Amino acid sequence: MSESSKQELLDRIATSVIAGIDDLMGIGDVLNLLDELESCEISPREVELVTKLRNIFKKLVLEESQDPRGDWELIHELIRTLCDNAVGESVVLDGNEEIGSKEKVSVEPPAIVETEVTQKDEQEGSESQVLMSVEDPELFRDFLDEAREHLSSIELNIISLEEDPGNREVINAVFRPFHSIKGVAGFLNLRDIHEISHEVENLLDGARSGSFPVTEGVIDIVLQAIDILKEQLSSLENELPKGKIVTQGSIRVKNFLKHVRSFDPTRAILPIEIPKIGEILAEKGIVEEEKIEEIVEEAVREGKKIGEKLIEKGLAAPKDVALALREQKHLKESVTSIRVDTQKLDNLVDMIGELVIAQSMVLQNPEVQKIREQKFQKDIVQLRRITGELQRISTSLRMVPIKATFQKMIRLIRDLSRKSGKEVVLQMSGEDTEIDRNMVDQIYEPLVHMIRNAVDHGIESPEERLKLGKPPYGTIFLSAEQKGGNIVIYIRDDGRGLDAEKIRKKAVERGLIQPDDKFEEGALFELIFHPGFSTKDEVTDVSGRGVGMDVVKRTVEDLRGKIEIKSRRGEGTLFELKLPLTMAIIDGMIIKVGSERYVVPTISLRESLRPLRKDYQTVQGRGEMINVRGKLMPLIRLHNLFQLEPLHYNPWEALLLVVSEDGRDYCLLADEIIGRQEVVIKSLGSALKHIVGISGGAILGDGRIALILDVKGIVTAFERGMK
Amino acid sequence: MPSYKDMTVLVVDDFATMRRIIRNILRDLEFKKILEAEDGTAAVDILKTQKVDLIISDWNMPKMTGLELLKWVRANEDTKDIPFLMVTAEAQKENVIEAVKAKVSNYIVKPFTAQTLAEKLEKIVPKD
Repeated sequence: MSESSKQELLDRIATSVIAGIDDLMGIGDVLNLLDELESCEISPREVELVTKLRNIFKKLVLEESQDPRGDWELIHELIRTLCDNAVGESVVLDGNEEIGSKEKVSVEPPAIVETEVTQKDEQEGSESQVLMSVEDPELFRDFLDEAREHLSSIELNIISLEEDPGNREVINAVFRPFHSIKGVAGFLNLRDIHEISHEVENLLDGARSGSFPVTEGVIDIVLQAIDILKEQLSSLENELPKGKIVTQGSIRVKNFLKHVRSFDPTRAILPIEIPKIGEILAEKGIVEEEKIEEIVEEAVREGKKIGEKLIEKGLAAPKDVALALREQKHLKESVTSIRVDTQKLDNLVDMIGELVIAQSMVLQNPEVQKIREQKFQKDIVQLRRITGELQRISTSLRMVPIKATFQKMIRLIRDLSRKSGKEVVLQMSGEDTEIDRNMVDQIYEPLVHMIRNAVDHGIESPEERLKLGKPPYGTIFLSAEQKGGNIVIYIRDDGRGLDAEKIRKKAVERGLIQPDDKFEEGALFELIFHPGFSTKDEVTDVSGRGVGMDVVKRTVEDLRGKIEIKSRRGEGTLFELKLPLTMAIIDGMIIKVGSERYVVPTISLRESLRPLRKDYQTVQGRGEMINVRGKLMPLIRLHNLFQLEPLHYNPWEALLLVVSEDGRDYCLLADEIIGRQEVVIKSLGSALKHIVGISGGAILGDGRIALILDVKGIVTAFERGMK
Repeated sequence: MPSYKDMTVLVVDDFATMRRIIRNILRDLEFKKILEAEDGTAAVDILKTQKVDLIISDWNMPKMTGLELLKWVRANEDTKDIPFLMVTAEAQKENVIEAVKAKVSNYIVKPFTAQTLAEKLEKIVPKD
């Protein structure tokens, strides 16, 4: 730009009229001129002046000035310096004189300053006031309607956002309603609603300006905010007729705000791409497959998104759709995959098991062991490494994260808590724990049942909980972890816990136990696994129908797993599901009875010991017992069961395996422990399926066959023999 | 007090409740002719056909924002002198300078009291 136009600009700035600090239009003029000036070639000194001027103007406009009068004068001084310097003159004008030279000056600076200050005071003083009187319920009703409309528009848009997180337009469409709700809530003095929308607005504003991408976390927060806002709106609606409304103080809101404020949106940045979603929702059991087909047709016809359509029709909650989209996204991300028939997979795993065994057989062959050649030894190490790796991979082939199963529980809990009128929160951990694909489907039903039980029988009503000094909402903790060769799933609730006395009474009523039977608390708890046992008299909608805990237990045992209960009155109940890592291999202890070898699944094993002679005793009516640290346990002679000639008849010479069934401990008498090994389970074939005390066969490392003990079967047979 | 009785004021906000709140205050200030528009484009439609003496507009609106409306108003010969009061949120105060550069008459931060609105109006509406 030429020097003359710069001069022209400076002249215009010098002669511009700002009637006072309220004259925003005048200030705007000067600001625009300063912008223009900056695009000319100006000296560093001039740049400094322009920047200074701009900052002071900004301060005045935003009413942030500490000293409006001083700043006002400073502006004139700066303008003068700027313009005079440029023309090379040094005429210093008196501040008043300069203002006086303008065509129309309405107010003198000092006067403006004073009105400005008083106005500020008044504003500050009135900040806590409610603008509209609460006596105008119409206004609130309008707000309710409109806010709800806005929320449903957010719900629709958030789905699009999940599909296309970078879309500014969509972010804006989600942002705006929050902004509007916040604005009005501010006027109506609805503090909680105002705060929620304010925080979400801030968050989305960051996303809108591109400071961080829209991540799952952000979307979760928005969805949560919608939930809470809806809740707030309905309680507002309920309170309106009473003339008094609660505007602040919800605990849920407080927690939410805490969460949002500590949320770091720059973390967990994920790329997102999404195709269709119907299948996932159908698989999760949220929408029926037929319904989805209908919806897909409709959606295609109307050119809408399937998720959108589902929400519109009320077939799926926005949260579910969002979750499904997310799951699908993960599937898409997780490298390309091919579908393989599980039968083929099972065969592969089986054959690899055989390979490992065959390898051991070769290597343990005495002729082979004689070979001392170094190259041969090296090759063996290499072979072992490869088969070991193969085995590891083959095991992992069948493993899937338990996440999907856990996530289905979220919806279950929500439905249950709605139906039962109890507030229940689900906390999960260890969702990434991997579990055998075949098992994952089978534990679904038991999990559902246990969670139902927890909500129905465990968690107290909100009133009851408050009386007990507990938070009004119950919590169910669902977690999974890998512990040794097992997967352990914990289902814990903070409800009322099991009532041992009530269970005893019921068990007596049902004829399961005798009134004078002595039971420890743990053994009493085990009774709930008995077929036909129910502690609750009435059948509720939530549970108490169909399968009982006995089915849960049977399912777990079919999976070669174990289930245990721990419970404390008033504090809650914990179910511990111990499952083998995979169905194809078990972690076993190899024992010897006489000349035979057996495999005892380590999952059933408590400990092994050799008792002292004095710990062995015979109890009238109960047979042989072993005193293990003061606790009497029945002795089960395995050699009797399998009709073998043992090495030792006396327990103090032999070895005892302590096992636990139905809350009771037993000692199995064996001759010795050979070692611990992972063995590949082999079916015995239909002819040998139902042998008491045997659950299957395994080929051991040295090529010999061993039978796997069915501890539960052994104990049951023993108890039957005692009666 | 300027005579508000004969003035036509246009209230622009996408939230009907908000418009209602502002309208109630304006009524108390003895405004008689109050028009409403739910966003910038609707406001433009009104401004094209009717004489308006004062515009009170929200900033954040779909389709056409308050700032865009302001720019349109100032660029249009028939409307360029209409006093324009921008309603803005506390969080967006920083953007006010943009509006000032676009020649906004004044701005007001939500939530505001009736008195603050009255004072702002006094500043921007020419007295008789």
